[in-house]
Amino acid sequence: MIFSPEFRDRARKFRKNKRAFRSFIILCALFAATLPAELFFNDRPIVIRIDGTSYFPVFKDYTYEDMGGGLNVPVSAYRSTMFNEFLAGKTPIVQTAAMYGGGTGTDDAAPLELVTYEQGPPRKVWMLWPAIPHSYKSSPRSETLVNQRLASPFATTRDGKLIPGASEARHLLGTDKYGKDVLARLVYGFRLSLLFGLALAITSTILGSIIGGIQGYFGGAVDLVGQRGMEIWGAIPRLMLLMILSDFLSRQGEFTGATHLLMLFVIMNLTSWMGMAGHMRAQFLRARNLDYVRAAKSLGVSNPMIMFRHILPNSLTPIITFLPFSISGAIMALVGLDFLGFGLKYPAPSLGDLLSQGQQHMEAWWIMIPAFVTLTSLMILLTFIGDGVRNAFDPRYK
Amino acid sequence: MWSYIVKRLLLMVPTGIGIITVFFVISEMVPGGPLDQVESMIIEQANIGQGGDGADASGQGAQRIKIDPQMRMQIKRKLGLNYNMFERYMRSLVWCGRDSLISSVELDVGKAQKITFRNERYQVYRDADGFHLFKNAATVNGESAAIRFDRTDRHFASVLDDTIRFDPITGAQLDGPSSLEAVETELLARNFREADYGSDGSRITVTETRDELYLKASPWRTLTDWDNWHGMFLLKFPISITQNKKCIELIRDRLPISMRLGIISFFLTYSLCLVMGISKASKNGSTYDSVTSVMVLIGYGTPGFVLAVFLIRMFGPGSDAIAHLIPLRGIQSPPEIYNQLSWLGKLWDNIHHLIGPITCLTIGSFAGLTMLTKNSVLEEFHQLYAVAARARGLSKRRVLYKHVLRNSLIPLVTGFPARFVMMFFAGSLLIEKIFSLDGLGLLSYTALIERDYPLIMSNMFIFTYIGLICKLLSDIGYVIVDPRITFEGSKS
Repeated sequence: MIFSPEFRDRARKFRKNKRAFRSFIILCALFAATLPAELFFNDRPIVIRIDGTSYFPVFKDYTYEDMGGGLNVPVSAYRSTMFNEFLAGKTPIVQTAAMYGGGTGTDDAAPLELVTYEQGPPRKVWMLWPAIPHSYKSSPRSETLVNQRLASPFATTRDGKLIPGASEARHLLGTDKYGKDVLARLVYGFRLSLLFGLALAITSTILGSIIGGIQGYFGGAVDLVGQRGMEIWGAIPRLMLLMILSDFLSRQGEFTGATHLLMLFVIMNLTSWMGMAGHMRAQFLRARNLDYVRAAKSLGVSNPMIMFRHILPNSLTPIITFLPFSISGAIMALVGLDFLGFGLKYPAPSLGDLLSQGQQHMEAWWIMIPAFVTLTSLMILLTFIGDGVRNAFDPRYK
Repeated sequence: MWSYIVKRLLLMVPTGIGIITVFFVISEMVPGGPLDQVESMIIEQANIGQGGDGADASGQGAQRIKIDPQMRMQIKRKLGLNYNMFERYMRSLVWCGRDSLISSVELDVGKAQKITFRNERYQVYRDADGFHLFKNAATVNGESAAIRFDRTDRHFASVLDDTIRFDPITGAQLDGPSSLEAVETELLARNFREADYGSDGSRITVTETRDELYLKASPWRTLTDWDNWHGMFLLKFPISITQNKKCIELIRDRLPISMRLGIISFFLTYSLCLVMGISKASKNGSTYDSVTSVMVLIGYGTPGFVLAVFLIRMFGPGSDAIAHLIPLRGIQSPPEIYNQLSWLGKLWDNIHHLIGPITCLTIGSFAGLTMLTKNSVLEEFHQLYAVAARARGLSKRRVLYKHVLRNSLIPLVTGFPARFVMMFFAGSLLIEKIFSLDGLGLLSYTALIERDYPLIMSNMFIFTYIGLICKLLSDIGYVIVDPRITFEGSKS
């Protein structure tokens, strides 16, 4: 789309607003920095070179067979004893069924005695590890599990006992109540929240524009019925409705991981379009009586065409003005749901879950304070941006 | 104007119907329906309550807890599941119909028969001497006939008229069938469609107890009796499943706490915003103006419940808080401490408990009002009358306070009534949960956690209507304060 001079003028006005523009830059930088979080926070090496062949475990799951022989068993943990033995030249050849099903993580996939090895020459290995060897879901090694729960940053002892492997664990912000790295969860959670908020803002803008546009453009009975429907739907307290639907969802079936996230996204879309629809309805209601629309109508242009090609480009102001606030609203709704336990399921990285852990475990300042700082600064940045956008784009704020 | 108000009020009716419908559909869609949910919840609770030692020697402790048919029937009655779906739905809107009076019948062979009526105020015992009627007779055995029966109760009187006569004082049977078998046949034939005998034959559990006698009563009598009317539109709210109280009573009990929070944060917000808005307008463009702008924006951005968690952690009673400024939970100290305090101590105790919640509730609400005040003061300052007053040599202060201020408060005052009422119910669910304040927000939350459907529905209904009425009030406020606004042209 070619931007109109008016739009460029407003964008310049936004850029001149130092507070808003800097917030925008900071937020973009943070987002860009957390986007490749897998490369910096992961329990798998980025590149692993074995006898001249390169593998990229971050992007692809490998089996021992892929990596040069042995069993057709997925490598689930790149720090496990089994994998280390493999690198030292031992090729696993026989194993019992119990070996299957080791999740991701640094935990050993299976007891060693269940595996039979074939001794070979040591492999030539070169590995590039991410800076922090934890992802949001890596669980600690089983022998350290109990001690690693709620360990403060760089803790080496717990209740007088040494935490095994504490020094190389590099938990810069300690661990949460399941022994997972707080910093990794924070970074992944930040990225997820922002992506979720952005996606929700976009879909709800589209939905709201369609619904509001149809109401405003056709007016009359369509508008009256639509308004009543929106009143009913909007009158139900949003958080309560989301909680009911999410509760319903969690008992409806076993959704896990990405599917659950998607379902959550869908139910949040059910309520989030309302604000946008109101604005777009007003825009279309006004525009339908303007000369250019009448002219288009008298020329026989179809209704969808008028709405999409003529009115919509002239009604972008509320869309742009509303966007930062609808992102922050979406993020807060997700965080609120997570905080109450109605949101994402545990291993998923969630800022709301970190916050609620911080509330439950008052002694764990390394959970609560980072979560608070992240959430608050994210919201404040979005508010600053939203304020700047509104000042630049909304003629009433000139 | 009046026609507008009437129109708006009429449009609230479909809104209410819609809300109930939406919620009805959601609660019906839940797998297994509400009955299964409640039953599994009761079993869960019983299992937790029993703990380890509750398990019998048979080793099947967890599985042994079963809901007997009688209990199931009582749950069904509470949920209204003894009616068909249409009637259930209509009963939450508007419905006129007689309820069955009898909620359970127990028959112990060789002993008295106990009939418990719906309102649980009467019990009928039958033994060899005939029927005995007791009011509020919880621990009655066949002999203690001393409790008086209130003959004026309409429900019972109408049952009485058609079946058996009792002595109003002693509760002894006066006439009607006299032999045990005859009475039993009579009761079963006339009052109950279906009866279940326990496997040992000792107990009757009535599964379908629509009272035939009531069906026989004249329609006029049914219609004129207010007790027969149901539905939230008549402000008759159902009974909560978990708390065994009328939902409206539960809401009423929680209201004072929500109101206290609301009123305080309302006055705090308004007074601070007014002062800040006016001073910002008079120092427009100064450092003070920009600093306060950033501050209110930061406040607007900070999510209240996130701040609440932070405040409790950093300033709460925890062992490694920075300073112990706010208590952990509640709206007052526990009564045994609170009652010993002097009035000054009580006052401080209240304030002390309110600091945290009020901060978190109001932090986000400054931005909008402050900027509104500032903008409207500035706008008025540029009006001709203000410019003229300045040109005639009046000081800026004088123009501000004598001329501009009153006009610029119009947009603020219009929002006043709606905001004031809204604030009664403003308690945020999240903040009330974090600070453990027993207000309406927490009530909704616990209702949701415990899947107390009638309570959730009543809550939503009341909240919605208050919201709608507030919207109407604020629209009316506009017209009253500013006569330039009319609604006649607002259609297009």
